[in-house]
Amino acid sequence: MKKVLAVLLIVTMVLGVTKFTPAIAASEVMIKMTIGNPKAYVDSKVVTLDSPPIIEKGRTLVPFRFIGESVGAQIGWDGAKKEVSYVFGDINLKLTIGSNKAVVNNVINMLDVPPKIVAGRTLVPVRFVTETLGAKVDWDAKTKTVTITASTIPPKITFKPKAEYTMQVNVGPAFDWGKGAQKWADLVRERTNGLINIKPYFGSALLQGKQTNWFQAVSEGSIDFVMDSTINASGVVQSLNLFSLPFFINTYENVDKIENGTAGKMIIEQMEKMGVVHLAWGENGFRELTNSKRPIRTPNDMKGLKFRVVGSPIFIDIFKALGADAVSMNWGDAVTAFQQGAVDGQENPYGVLIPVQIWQYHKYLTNWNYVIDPLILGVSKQTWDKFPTYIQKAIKDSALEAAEWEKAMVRRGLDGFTSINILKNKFGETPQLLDMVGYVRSKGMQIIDLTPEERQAFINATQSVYDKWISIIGKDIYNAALKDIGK
Amino acid sequence: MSAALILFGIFILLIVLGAPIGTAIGVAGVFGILKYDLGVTMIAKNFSAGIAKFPLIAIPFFVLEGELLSKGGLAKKISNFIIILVGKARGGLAMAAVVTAAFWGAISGSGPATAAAIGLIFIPAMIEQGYHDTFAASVVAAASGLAIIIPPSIAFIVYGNITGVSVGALFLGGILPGLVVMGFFLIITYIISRNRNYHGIQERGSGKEIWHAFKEAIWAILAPVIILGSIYAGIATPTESAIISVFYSLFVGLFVYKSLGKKEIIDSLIGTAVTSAVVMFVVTFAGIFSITESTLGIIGAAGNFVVSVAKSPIAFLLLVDLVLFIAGFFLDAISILYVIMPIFLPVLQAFKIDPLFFGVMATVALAIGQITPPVAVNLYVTSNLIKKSLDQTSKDIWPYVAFAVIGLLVITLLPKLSLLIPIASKLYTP
Amino acid sequence: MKKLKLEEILVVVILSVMALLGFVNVLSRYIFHLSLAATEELEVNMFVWVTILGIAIAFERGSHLGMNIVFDKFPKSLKTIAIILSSLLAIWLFVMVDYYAIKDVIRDITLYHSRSEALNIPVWMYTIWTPILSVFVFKSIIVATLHNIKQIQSGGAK
Ligand code: NA
Ligand code: NA
Repeated sequence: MKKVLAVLLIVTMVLGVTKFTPAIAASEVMIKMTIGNPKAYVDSKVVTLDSPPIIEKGRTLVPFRFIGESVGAQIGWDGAKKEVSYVFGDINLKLTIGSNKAVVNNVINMLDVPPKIVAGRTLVPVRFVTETLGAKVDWDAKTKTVTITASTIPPKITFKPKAEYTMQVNVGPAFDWGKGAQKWADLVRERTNGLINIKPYFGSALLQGKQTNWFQAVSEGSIDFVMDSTINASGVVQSLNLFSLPFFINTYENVDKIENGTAGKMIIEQMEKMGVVHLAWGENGFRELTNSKRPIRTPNDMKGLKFRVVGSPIFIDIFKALGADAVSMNWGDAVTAFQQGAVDGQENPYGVLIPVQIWQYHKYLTNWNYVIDPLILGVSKQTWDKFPTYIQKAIKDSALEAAEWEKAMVRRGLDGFTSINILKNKFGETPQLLDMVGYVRSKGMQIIDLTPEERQAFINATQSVYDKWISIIGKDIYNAALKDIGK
Repeated sequence: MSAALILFGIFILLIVLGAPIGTAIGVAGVFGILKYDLGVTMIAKNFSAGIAKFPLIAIPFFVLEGELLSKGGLAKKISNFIIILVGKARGGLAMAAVVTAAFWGAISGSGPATAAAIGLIFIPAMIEQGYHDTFAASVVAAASGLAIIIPPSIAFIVYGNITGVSVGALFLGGILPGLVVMGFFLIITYIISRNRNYHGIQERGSGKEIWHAFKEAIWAILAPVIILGSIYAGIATPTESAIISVFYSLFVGLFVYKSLGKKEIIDSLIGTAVTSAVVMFVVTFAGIFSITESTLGIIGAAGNFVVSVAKSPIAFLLLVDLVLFIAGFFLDAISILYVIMPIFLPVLQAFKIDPLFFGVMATVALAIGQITPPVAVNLYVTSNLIKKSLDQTSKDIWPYVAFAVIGLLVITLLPKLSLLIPIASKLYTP
Repeated sequence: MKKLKLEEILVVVILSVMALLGFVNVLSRYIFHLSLAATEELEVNMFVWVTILGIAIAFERGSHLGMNIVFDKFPKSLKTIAIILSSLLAIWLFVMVDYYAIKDVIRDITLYHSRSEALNIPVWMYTIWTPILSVFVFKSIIVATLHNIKQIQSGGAK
């Protein structure tokens, strides 16, 4: 008897599935909508919407009631608060008209486009709402069609947060980088209502000071979060040496193009395959050259000088190619070596040069932008996969915001008014030190800017580095980067 | 049960059972990582990372230098010279032991190594002159504590490694405080010698004898000049000066005194490996323990408590002195640096206390810990030399502990003592 | 001269090489103009090896720091138990280190392919020596434990 029932059940299930669409399981529903078209499909059933889907700033908005009902969620509307709500299993989602803050189970998620009322109908961002309720969203740009595959089984949240999540940060809390890490942790705590508590460990304290171990530590889940330099991971993720190809990237526009372009995407995929989920790009900045001996305008000026560089083989190759000695030592030793005259110079971004008061040791600064030092705001895949979507989103939102702020801080005054305006308009901040170059000059340093010809001389002198390192980085990624920056 | 209780419970229990401190602290730390899921995969990486640091290489090299000079007979030559100089005073041999230990402290970075080198020479001589053996063992043990205050110093190398304060600057910071403590040791030695009627020896040497002894000792006297001079003059980092001093000792032992043979060199190398491994065993596992302690929030909580208790910088410093003094009875200097100091370090800024001065002050407290039983490394060495138990020897140590504490208070209240030379040498900017 | 044990020979060789490298390093800084990073990388990794070997020798010689005041008051049986417990835990500690070191080596070879900072050689070439040299630690702990238990049984101290 049981067997017969089971066979019957299977037969009906198979029939049931094949009857509608073969790709969909019985517990799933497929919703299709096209921009500007009031006709929508729920599985094979046609539904006429009272207001067609629209696009705003690249986001699709759809009538709130339709999308909730199709998925099977309970819908609420509070006219006084102008609040839309969905309850589906363990998910409780609230959106407010005109507000870019959505609340999912007491956790704030940021919306690019807030819900709005069009012709008396409330429209909500479809991707955010359905994904939060557990659905999968596909977008066909050609036909402008949104396809949602949603489970009709109410989601269960079994997630239990750890008391504390660790974050690796190489520098101290006084640097913009360190402040960015703290800001990220603070934003996450605030937006998750204290549920996710991330503690930055400054100075690579969790790694016994060995910052080049961060990638493995995060990949293996020994450390949860990270805001650290690509250089410190370049011994493992060799493609990250792309950012250290000498004089290759050179401008902030190029940095952004590569990070957000194809090359950036390829690198991010590599990292994720190796267990580190990339959430946002921060920045330590372009690394500039300082020394105590003489103004440096040509590779020849560097001959015979000793420079402290970060511990990474490509840096040693670059300085060797320029005829200088490269020494890798920790910063404490480096300072002593400067004071003793044992080492003549070093390279670091302005965001580091100012807090360490480099003018105490060096008189000459060359703005040569030879390599960019991006920061990765990332998380261990092992940690990440345990978070429900809405917590993932809160963490990613926070990472993006903290990174945007941190990037603007380290670029302020170095990219015209772009970053100063971001700080002012988006974050309501006017930092004290807006002219970092002028400040360093006022401390008695001589600032050297390179002409395009002078820069070319450095590029020519470091050709051997390209010959060796492009194959290590990966030719495909290098070519993608060339395309990204239009070279 | 709270995490702190479990961690410290395991640590203390194992020490009480007689396990090596490195084992105890390592087991507690690794157990904590496993129990609270703090990142097991880092255990091996952090074991190596805790050792593989260039500044820490100064430790084996300074130890090797001391071994070579000691096996090359230089301690004997220095003591001859100093005995001729101060031997005539009341308690002359004991006074000479203090000064020689201070001098040897400028060559060696380790308390127990100094106690062994100086003890072998002075303790038999003092007993022969009618000093009580326990007194002889105590004075040498106490004075050998100067070895970690007067540069070079393993304690400063480790403190610099934890805090990022320049080791070279710390070295220079230890000079005056070391001399201050030596002064207090000379005072108490004189007082005891007068009470117990310990006589000085013979007559003061003639000018010619002094000159002869000086000439004999000149190569030993030059060793600290090279070590400190190269750091002070800004020529070398501490690690480099340690390496230079190794080759200097080899040169003196092989070519000047011709006192080093193959056996002495091999023994020195093996002895160095053991001595520095004994330190590094604790360093690397204490580092892991300290990460565990910190991720479990123990450090933060303790730090907050300290801030809430100590209302002023002076109160804070005295509290630190007290804590380190008490901890010094039961723990070695390295464990204290890793297990207890992280509580204080983050709150230094709040009290506007200079980290270099703080390191020097703490090291003086740690030097006292080397002579307070039951864990008293220097006293342990000298007790073995007189074949008595730590208990028996320790009855003569307390006056030295008391006077060292007075020295500690002076150093605590006068930060200038620690900061003067590092600032003057331009190796340090507060 | 007494015959040296293998770990002692290794220590003598490695420490000598370290000292020589260090000396070359110093000379190169003041006399030649060589890249110092390479010798530093070798030196710090050799220091790890020397430390592991030194820990082993120190176990056998009973040189490690510890506190005996309570232990000395134990009866024979308790002394034996304490020694065995402490030795087993010390072995466990190094088994943990070695277990994760071996895992590191495997992951480094199969997944990360991570390379060293100065010499740009595979990092596992350094890591692999931790479990290999730890064999001496295990040997020394066992030798010392048997020796100490024998001493206690025959009435001697630890
Ligand atoms: Na010393
Ligand atoms: Na003590």
